[in-house]
Amino acid sequence: MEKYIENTDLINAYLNNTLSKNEKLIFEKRLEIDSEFKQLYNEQLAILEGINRVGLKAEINAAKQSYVRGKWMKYIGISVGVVLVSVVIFSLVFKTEITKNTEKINNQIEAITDVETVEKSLKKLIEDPKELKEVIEIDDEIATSRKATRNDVSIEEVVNKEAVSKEKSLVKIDEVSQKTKPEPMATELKAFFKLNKKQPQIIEVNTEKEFTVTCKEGTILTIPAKSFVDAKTAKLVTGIISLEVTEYYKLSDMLIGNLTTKADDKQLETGGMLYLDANKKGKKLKLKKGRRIQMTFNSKGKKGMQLFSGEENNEGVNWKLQTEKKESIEEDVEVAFSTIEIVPTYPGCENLSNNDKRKCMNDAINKIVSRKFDMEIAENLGLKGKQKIVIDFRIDKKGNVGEVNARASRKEVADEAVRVIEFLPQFIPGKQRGKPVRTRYSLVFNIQLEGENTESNSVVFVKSDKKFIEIFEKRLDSIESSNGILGTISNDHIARYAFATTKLGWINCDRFVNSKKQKVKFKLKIKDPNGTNVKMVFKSMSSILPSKKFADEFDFGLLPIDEEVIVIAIKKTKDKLYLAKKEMQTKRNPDLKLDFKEVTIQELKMELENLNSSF
Amino acid sequence: MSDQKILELFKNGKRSKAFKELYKLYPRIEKLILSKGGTKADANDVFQEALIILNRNLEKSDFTLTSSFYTYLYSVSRFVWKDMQNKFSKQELLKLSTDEVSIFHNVLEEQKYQFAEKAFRELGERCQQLLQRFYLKKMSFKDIAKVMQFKSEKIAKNQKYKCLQKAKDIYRTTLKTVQS
Repeated sequence: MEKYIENTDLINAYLNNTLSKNEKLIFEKRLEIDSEFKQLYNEQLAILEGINRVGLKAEINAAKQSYVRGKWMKYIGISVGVVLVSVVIFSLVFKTEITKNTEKINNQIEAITDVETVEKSLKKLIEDPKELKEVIEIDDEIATSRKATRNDVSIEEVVNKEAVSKEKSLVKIDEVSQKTKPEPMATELKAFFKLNKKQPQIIEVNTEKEFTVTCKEGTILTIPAKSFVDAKTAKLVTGIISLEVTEYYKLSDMLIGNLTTKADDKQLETGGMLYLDANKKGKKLKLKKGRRIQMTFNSKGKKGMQLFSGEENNEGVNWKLQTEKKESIEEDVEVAFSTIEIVPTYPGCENLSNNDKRKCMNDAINKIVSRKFDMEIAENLGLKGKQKIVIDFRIDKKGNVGEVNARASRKEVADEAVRVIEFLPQFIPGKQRGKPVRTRYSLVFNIQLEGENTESNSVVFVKSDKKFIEIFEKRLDSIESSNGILGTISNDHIARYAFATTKLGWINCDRFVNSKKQKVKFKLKIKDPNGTNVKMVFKSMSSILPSKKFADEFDFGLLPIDEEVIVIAIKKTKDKLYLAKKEMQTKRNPDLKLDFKEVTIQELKMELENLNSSF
Repeated sequence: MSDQKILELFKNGKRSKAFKELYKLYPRIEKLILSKGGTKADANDVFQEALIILNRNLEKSDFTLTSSFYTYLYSVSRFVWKDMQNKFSKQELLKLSTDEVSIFHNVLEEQKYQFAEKAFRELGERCQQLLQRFYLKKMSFKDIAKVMQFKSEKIAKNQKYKCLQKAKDIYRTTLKTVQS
């Protein structure tokens, strides 16, 4: 113990640097030769450092607390400042002479809003100014019409619920007694539809330029330059490619293409269907991520049209509208800060007119930047005179600031600018037609340093906030994997339906049928039903419904009552083709006899074309 | 505040103030750790560790800060976090630059002290207080005896050795279990 205490004290003395030079040398020598002593020393050092850590941690924590407190105090200070500024501006507004004096609150940094943005990209899309206007209008309408559709649907649901619940018990009993799944379509029939479906129109497209084409039946497609990638390798495809377009406006085309207008269990009314495909020398292509084909359908007059995309299944094509996904696309609608209806609100700038809000926000950002921007960074770099920093950032639908970009003469300065902007609190997002939208905001800061700026204006570009970009890319991915729906319109003044798709394949311009009529179950029995497909065409609207086949029964599910419809049955056996059609009104499980007559393919097509006028 | 000024704070013994300044860098470090899958609590621990390492280095006479505080703390934090995750591959270690190697050594060295700290925290309350008073507050045994109501200076002194010995024992056993 004696020796141990002696050694401990010695080590302490060494660590505390209280030994004489000579003693120190002896000590160090001993460390080299005496391994036991060395271990003792190491242990003691470790323990002392461990104890030190305890003290340090306490100190660091205290520092952190005071930093956090300071930060809050600053925020409080800033918001008080902002309130003061807005009060000053507000009162000045009424004296008409406003601005320029208050703008120079800070003599070091001044901000100017840069008010030119997004519209360029829209212009690129469509050059014809008339159509441009239409497209913008559509964008604007998206929000309202979606709301409207939702309301309608919910009303319909309420109305239907009763009917449905009454029917449900019946359905259950029926299902139990039948215990069968619908039969898949007979192979002969499938082959028949495949063989006779409409042939696509093949359009050569030069991918180097934006391309607009009016197809045979009047669909207008606008394809941006460099929009196609190889479906397998995802590599950009250049040069001439073939775009295959099949337009379905006519009832006969839809019927012979085995197309119906149903989204899962909901009835749709169509404003035209399209099948788009693209290839280059037989290699399948797909749309590049984020690219959209603008399309204008050649039909008009119905409100609340939406874009659906189709998935082929056993029975034909099922249409899907995915609301959540659509929202994410809508989020992609970016509105220019200069034109947005309600500008994003900086916390503290509420209850002002748009222009005052802009002003208030400018001032607030100005103030934050002038407070937070570490001038010494610029000074330490030896920069002199006036330094320009251009910053832009997005304010997303939720009011978050992200995707900050900065341009300055030095990377460090741009970095600092990005850091400062990331300090900005959450905004109240800007709104367009009552819906929060994303905006891009850009500003120019000038820092005034001593001396004169003699450097040539080199510019370094800093892009920041990786995370935000990742989120953004993920969103793009999810858009691509979605079924490519892109917007809704409801505007009597827009004669035709215009949309943009991010995906090739089946595309349908539809709306949900919101009938408030009572619904009834509708089933048909047909003798010798093999190879038969039965569809129902609604005279009052452009809607075709499929039926599910259960042995000799064809089930249409629930239909609105008292609708003028045409039941169309096509039957294909090995070598013969039959057609039956019957005009009638929908009622509960009608007693219906279909008279099949043998037809040739030409006759069938003719018969179907005769129905086109009633569609 | 510029790095130069913060350095001066350290030199003039105004460590708390310096730490407070350096905490301004914390949000960016937190971002780093969050982006690597850590939680906010992790980020807090990592940054604290980075500050301790920085402080230790600044106390060394042969250490000069070659980059900005931010860059330094950023890379230290990166290493600390990676080390916490045990994510170093041999190849990675071979590719390190000299600066990074010294940071890596710092992180490893600090680990020993972390064990020592743990050992210390396992001591009884009274032992902890005694050792802290002696080593951190640099109180004399006379004062310690008075404050902690030891009967004599000598008993306080003896007690301190015992506590230290105990801490060493715990430390040694934890090291052994870690190494095995």
